[in-house]
Amino acid sequence: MAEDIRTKLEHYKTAPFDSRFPNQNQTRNCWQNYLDFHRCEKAMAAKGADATPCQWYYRVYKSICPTSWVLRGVLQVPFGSLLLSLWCPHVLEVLRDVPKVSLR
Amino acid sequence: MANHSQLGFQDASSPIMEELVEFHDHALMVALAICSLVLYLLTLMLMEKLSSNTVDAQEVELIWTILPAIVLVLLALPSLQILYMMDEIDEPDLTLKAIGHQWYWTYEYTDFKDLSFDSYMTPTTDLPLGHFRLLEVDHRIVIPMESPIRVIITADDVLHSWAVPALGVKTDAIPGRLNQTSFITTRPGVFYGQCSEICGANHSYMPIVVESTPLKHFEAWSSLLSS
Repeated sequence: MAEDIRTKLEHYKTAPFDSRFPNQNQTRNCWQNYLDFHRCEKAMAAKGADATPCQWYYRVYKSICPTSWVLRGVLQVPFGSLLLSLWCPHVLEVLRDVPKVSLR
Repeated sequence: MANHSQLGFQDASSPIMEELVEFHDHALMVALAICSLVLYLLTLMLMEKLSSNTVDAQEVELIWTILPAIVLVLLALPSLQILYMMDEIDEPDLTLKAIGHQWYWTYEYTDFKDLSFDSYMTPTTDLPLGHFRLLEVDHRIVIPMESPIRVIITADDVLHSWAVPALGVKTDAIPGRLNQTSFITTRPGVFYGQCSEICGANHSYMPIVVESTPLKHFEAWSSLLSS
């Protein structure tokens, strides 16, 4: 399995077709891979395991998500709050202080 | 690009656009046939050559129900074929992001390195001789030819739309949403498009230029850009 992911990473060209997001709107695809990357990193760090498989999610979200969204930290919100965080960034600060369910 | 007073489509440079042009020709022929028939019947009627004493019209009713149904099927079948063809899953070789701003586009190639640049229209005062007014840009999008390209389109402020007629692509750029479209260029060349959603004072002055080249030239260009 780890060998498969390394081979997949070596032969990575671009984000492949994801059947969870078959339609024109790819916003959730970007958000999901961003979330999966951070969850994966957190989980691997907690277990003390190799975080290389997490690179797949990193490559996919880098391919799909606009750089400005990533740099502005717009994606670090629940999906329903994405538009809010894009257009009202000061609200993001308030949202960050609200206790959330931990990323398990 | 379109020539002066051009009425028809630009030469198709992607397989989908080729299909669309053929379908348009077919649909236009159907429309021409119907219009000719209607004009003919109208003329006959005006010359009072279409009178009848019959009150029983079963046969003619049948004909002018079945015939239109056949015409509709003749239109629907190729139309749906192309619609499904557009949705075919073709694993892309490259993902390009196009972000609309007032009034320029930003393009990002982030599959490997973080390549990003802005694309502004070349003002007419700075246009070299022989170049196309209101269509040229300072930095073109370069893509490898004959490769499936995925484009993710969004906007940073207001609605825009990313359109390249020769490739049969037009997709709205909506703030907060990532819209996906894809195309394959059948040949190398330079393809022009313009913003297709009203976005303010300079909506007509933020064109799109796609340059399709063989892979090795694309690789050379992207190495140059990343250095």
